Amino acid sequence: MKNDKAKTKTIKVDYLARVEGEGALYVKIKGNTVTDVKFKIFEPPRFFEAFLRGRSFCEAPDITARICGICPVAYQMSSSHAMEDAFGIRVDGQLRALRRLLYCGEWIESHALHVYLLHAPDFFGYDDAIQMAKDYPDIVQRGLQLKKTGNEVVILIGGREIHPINVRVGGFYKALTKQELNSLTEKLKRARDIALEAVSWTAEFDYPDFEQDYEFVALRHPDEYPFNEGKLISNKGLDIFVHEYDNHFIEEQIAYTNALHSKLKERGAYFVGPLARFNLNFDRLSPLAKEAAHSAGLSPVCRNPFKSIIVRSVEMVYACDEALRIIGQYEKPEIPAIPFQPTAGTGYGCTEAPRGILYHRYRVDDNGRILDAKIVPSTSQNQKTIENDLWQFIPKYLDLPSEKLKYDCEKAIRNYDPCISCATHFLKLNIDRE
Amino acid sequence: MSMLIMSAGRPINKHQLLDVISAFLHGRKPNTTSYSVCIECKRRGNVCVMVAHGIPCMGPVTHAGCNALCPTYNRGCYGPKETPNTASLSNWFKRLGVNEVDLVRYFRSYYGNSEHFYKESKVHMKKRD
Ligand code: SF4
Repeated sequence: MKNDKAKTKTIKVDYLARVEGEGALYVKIKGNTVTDVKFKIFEPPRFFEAFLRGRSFCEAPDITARICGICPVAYQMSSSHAMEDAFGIRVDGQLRALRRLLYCGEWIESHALHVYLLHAPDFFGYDDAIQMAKDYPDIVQRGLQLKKTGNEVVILIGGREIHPINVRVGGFYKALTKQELNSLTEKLKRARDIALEAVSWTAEFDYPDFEQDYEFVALRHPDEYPFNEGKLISNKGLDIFVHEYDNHFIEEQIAYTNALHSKLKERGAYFVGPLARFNLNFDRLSPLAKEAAHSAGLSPVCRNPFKSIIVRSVEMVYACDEALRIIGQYEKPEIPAIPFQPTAGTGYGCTEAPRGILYHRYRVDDNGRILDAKIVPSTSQNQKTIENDLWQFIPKYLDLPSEKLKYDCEKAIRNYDPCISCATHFLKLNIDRE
Repeated sequence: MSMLIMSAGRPINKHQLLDVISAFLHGRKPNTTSYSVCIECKRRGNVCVMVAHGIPCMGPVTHAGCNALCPTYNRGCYGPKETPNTASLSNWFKRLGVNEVDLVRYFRSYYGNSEHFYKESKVHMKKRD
């Protein structure tokens, strides 16, 4: 046939929509071969690690929270844990539970945004949730209600829904009363019902037949589904303490993107986020969340990244369930934060942000002043895997018209709910066909 | 516009943002208060964290609009306002035991480049060195 001749085709998405931040995709296709894939993050570099030098340890949770408007709690948690590690202190009991509850709120808020407003329109062929809302007003409204409940958890405990102000190294500035938390119970029960509906709703979507042999990386805790603590494990043999992170992971500068690429020194690309957590920690989910996953036909190991939308919904069920459990057992702690003296040292923290593990490392002096900081957000850890997926995904769909292929590539990127502002610390799509 | 939003102190709240946009669309002056966070703090009936607990608070030099969020959560506020009396606040902070290095830090966070905060931070930079 004529078109056997190597023809070059470019797919360009100049601004990726429905992702947080500014990014683009460039794909080059020669004949039937993909010859180049570049996932470019052009959100300007943000220099947070440098801003932190010379600041006091107690400012790290407030300053790093500003990296992201969607997952500020994750930054506050990772930075607080890292500082506590440096000073040799542990936050336990109800203060720890209150942190976990705050994190549940952020997961609900962030996952509801992605499932209903950012990713679902892809499965129906809409350009955005506003179009989708014309045909499915009830569904979009339920999503917004779910998100609102997440917001309310964060507002109550954190002071406001974005960039909360109540988190500090050692605990909180103000501890909430049982009565205050009880005001969330009915809302969370309704939210849990909506999340269960989300699982059965997303389970019915059409999924491309696409599976890869990923290395999933997530925290693993002896008895909880992971939020704040645990060892870092993978399905390919990684099993390390958080303070060993730098021995196993490396960040690389790539010319075409403003975000560093993170990889495992020994094996390269890896996968973080809801799918990784689910695959490595299924046994730690609540019975209700497990049951919801099973009824959606999901069990570990799920290797289809498109199905991460179902997993996100399962995690929303879990987050509501866990929040209700915590509130049920809560008693106001005697003091809002545990007392300590800053000491010189290095501290490591890694917690499960909605998009996956978020690593912080700080070196502080005797006065608690930050000498240097390192922050590795989840999106920079997933970048390589996102590109790998496109290398594998596009050849299967080369017959599609360019517009459709472009749409599907964006959908594949959104599987990871990339947060570009975090990663620059990214989306625009170009497909080049010859 | 951006000056206006900046001057409202802290990250502005959603009502302030709506008001600024609506003011802009109608060609009117935005309805922003001219007083400091302290007024809101008193109205909320908070106990002053600076007076009662000796916690440095930037409320006196910060534009109202947040409804005194931080003091309500038992912590000091972090900045700024138009024509604030920064020198006086620095003196109060010193009495609470804040040193020159930390004073520079207080005036140089999110709004470190706003005129009054920048000047005040320079004063303490000199004393620090
Ligand atoms: S706590 Fe801060 S804002 Fe409230 S009255 Fe005292 S100084 Fe002013």
